[in-house]
Amino acid sequence: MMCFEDVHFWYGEKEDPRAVAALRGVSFVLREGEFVVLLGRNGSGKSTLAKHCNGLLVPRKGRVCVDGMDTRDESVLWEIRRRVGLVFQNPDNQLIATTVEEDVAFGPENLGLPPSEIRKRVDEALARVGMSEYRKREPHTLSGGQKQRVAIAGVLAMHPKYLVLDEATAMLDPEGREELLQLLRELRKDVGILHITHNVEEALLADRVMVIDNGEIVAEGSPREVFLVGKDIEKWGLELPQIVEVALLLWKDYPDLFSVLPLSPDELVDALCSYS
Amino acid sequence: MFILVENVSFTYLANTPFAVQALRGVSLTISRGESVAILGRTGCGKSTLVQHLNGLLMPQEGRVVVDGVDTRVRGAALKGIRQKVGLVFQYPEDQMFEETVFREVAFAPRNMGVEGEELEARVRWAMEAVGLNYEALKDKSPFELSGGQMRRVAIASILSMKPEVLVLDEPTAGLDPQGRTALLERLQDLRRQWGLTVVLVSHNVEDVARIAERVVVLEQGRVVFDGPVREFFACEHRMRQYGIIPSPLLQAAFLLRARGFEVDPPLTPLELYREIEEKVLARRKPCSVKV
Repeated sequence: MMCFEDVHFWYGEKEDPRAVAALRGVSFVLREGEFVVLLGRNGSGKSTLAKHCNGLLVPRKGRVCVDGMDTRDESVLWEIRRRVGLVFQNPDNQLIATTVEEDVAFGPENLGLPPSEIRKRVDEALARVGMSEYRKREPHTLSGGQKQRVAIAGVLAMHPKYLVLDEATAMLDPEGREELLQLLRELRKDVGILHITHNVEEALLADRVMVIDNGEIVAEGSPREVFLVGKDIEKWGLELPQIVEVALLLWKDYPDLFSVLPLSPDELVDALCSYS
Repeated sequence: MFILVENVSFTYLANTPFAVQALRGVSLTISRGESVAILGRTGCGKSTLVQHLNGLLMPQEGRVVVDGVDTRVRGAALKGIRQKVGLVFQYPEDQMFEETVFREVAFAPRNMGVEGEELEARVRWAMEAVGLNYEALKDKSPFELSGGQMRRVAIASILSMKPEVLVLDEPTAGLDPQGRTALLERLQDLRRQWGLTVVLVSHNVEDVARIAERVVVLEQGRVVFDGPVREFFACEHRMRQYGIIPSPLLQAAFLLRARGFEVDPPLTPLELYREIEEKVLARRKPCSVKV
């Protein structure tokens, strides 16, 4: 379990109530096997939160615990970083080796594992993200979506329990984005996933959605619960997913049209067809 | 017509073992005041094509003519083309370098010899045109601004040349929903108020739906579709064939059509809502046709 308890953080010397990207009393729990999407506009504090997950930043007040280990305790920091993998926005900034498999091997090598174990982990991780056939390729010849999958393989080779993605889909084209989201759906059974984004459509896949604004968690629940706020979501700098917006407009005119809020095109169309 | 692209072919690293043919006989015309989206999957030639529109790349075969002038001219005439056709690259804020927003936006017109009061007036106009407060921001460092504001400064620094055509490569990439909506609304205003011609390179169907009237689709360096945006959005098979993923709104419309409701492809959530009210709920036709 990854646990944020009343986490406060600010950049610079003193706490400033207006500063952007600060955290102001953030509390939540991410369990293994859970897929959570964190939504927030630019400057809301979402990347600051991501950097707290594995101790890249540590709270000024409150605490972050990973499986009971406090991120301020330097003696357990490497174990925390093995358990919590981070993937960032720009695929070009994360790959360092000259071939795909060497890149994936970088983490396990630093753990001091025997070569046979490293080989096994690299092969498993590449198979997991569907990149085995690219293992000898140079990373710069891959598409953005493929690079992000290699970055995730590098994290998976550490056998993490949690995966934190900080706007990892933002620079991908639609096909690369679909690939990555499909992979997250497959990985969700084995690791806890915290996917940070401002794309509201991506939140529909989550078990749970949290909205962060001005450094505070302002909404939390299933996608259905969170998006019931309707147009009020704009006060947090976000928009409604398109299908939800249509459904809420229809629901006003036809109160008995839906028993639950439809989120996907299929759910909307099924509800419309069973209504008549 | 204002821009003519005639049978243009272009190969990177031509005559080497690494040659990649990016454009294969591309022809299209763009009229004044139009709003055209260029779509296609990564590597289809979109960016190569738009760099031909202001003479940054020259056609190896065929020709590009802007307002009657072939882009292969040199000297003052080429400068004239680059002033008429403003090109905003992807992540344009990465190219900013000046110390203040004013100097950044003033850079291009100053190089064109604009000075003094006219320079100030241009910078003010360009900043306000993209929704930036001139007095509040002109002396700030561009790097203190939010991502959405930086993007708008970068666009203002092209607008300050007073181009007649604005070509934007993925202008909303990385912006949050508010920044994106604000930018797209400003582009619409510029078209309405100043008759600006807009060429948008994108693979984001929602952006295209919001501002483009016409769609040009490239596939492996060839134009495979050129027509009204609604016509392109009417065929799911064709969209997917060219690597364009339909928005959830369009997907819902396609599903309804498959079940026998004659729903037109919607560009906005409000349009789909009206289509459903009129063509699905008002008629209460049973869903007899299965997918």
